[in-house]
Amino acid sequence: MLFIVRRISTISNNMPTDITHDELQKAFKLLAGRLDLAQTEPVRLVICGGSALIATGLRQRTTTDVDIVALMNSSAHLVSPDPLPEFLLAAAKQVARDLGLFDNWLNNGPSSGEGGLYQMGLPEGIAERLTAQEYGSRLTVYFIGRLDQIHFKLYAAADQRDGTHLTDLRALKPTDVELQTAARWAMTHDVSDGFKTVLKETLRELGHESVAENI
Amino acid sequence: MNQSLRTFKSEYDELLLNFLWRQWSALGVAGHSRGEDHWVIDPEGLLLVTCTLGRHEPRLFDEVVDWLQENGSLINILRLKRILRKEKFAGASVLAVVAGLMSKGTDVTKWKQLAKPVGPLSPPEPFFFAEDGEPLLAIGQPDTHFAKYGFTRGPMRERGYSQKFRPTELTNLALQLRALVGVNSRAEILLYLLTHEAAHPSEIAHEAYYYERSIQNTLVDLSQSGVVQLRSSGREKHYWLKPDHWAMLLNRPERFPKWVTWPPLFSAMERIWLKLNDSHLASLDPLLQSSELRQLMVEVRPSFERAGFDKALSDDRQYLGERYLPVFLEDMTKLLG
Repeated sequence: MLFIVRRISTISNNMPTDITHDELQKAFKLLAGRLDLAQTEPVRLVICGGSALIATGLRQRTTTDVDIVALMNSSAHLVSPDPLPEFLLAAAKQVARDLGLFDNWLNNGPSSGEGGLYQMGLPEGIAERLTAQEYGSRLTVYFIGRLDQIHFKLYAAADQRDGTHLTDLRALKPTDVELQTAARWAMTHDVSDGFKTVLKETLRELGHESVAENI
Repeated sequence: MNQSLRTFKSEYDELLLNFLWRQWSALGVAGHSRGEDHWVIDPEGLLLVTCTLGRHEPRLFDEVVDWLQENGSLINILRLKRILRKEKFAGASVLAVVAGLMSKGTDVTKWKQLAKPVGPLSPPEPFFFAEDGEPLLAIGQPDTHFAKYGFTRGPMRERGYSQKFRPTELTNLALQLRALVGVNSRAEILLYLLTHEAAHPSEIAHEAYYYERSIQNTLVDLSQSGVVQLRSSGREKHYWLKPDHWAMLLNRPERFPKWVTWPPLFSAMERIWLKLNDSHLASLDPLLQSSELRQLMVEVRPSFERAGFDKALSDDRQYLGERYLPVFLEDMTKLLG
């Protein structure tokens, strides 16, 4: 019996860790250190999703990964994060091992492939709304702003019918104008009637009936 | 460097150098007390790790060269090259210096193949280092042989204190067998069979760093003698020896030493040594130090496994972030203690 208890405890100790605000800072700090050790070129990540909400203080919750929506080049232009540089993936893999995170805790999921957010077009003016945080000389992390979070969360809530996105969206307390802008942008990513119908339902669920009528 | 890592580095250096001294002393190197180890010594693996660590212990390095003048004919160059090809060792350029020193007399052909300088010659670098990692300045005229290989050190004087190896010393079975049947695959096969109940040819080839075909053919020849026994189970052939008969022949009344596959273990220990002696590690914060050591241990763990020493190592995934540092120190102390 004791053996079994010990086994269960061992297994649970190896479960990937959810990322809190402090864990996120630690992960970026360690990632920066690993990039320094490998003497890589500087890398600038543009982050969206739960980790950006946590880092910018818009939400207090945990996440399992860090979503890269774009990279910024040395001329301060946003570029595709697909594929991510090998050196970055290697450093991230070691950080995952060090901190017990998911193997792909740092990923380009939102902007991978032809239908990705970057590939289909990012919200206008996103670059001006970024919040930068430097971690040493080789890693700068840009977190997207609140309005862009509303864009991405509305699109994801309608597209994936996932309660987490809806909860995040409610916490952001978007105005009618913000949601209307976000809805128009989302419809450029999915032009189908089916998506429009679901989008309207989502807006109604959020209590923004008038926006649902206007799109 | 944090204090515990600094203290540990000194302890690790000392434990490992003592260990090398003990092994070489058992083989006949002068200048250190012998231990009572019960495993077989691997002269090639030992020489390779000494090519790196010996640069931090000048007296050991010079005594080993001295010992090679006396016993170098029993070093298996083929095996040395094969270990070097299969395992990560940092001392290839130093091995070339040693091979250059040995390339004379009847052994000239044997060692010459290893005596070519490795890679392009960079500006001369100091050969020996002090305990704190600082280069040791050459005293007297620089040694011309070492200079040819891009190293600076004072003149090397062979003291001639080293002795012929003691054949019946428990740990010296490899050299004893080579002296008896020659420096060839036969000696390696006999060594493996005397330290195991029975073995398959591919297992011997893998563990002894030999080509499987060569081991297979030699075993077929040896079994025709009626001394090396064969038992077949299905298509698998296992060879074995009668240890009592061999104990009498080899004048070893007690027992045969324990087999250890040393090269992967030496390679792993050398890589840990190099990391701990990397001055850059000292400047990192504890989180990054832990990360570096964790990364290294993930890489060298398979080597510990192959040598059968992985049980001493903890699962790093249980100790996240900086919490791994004390666990690493504890593991290494357990391993060397």
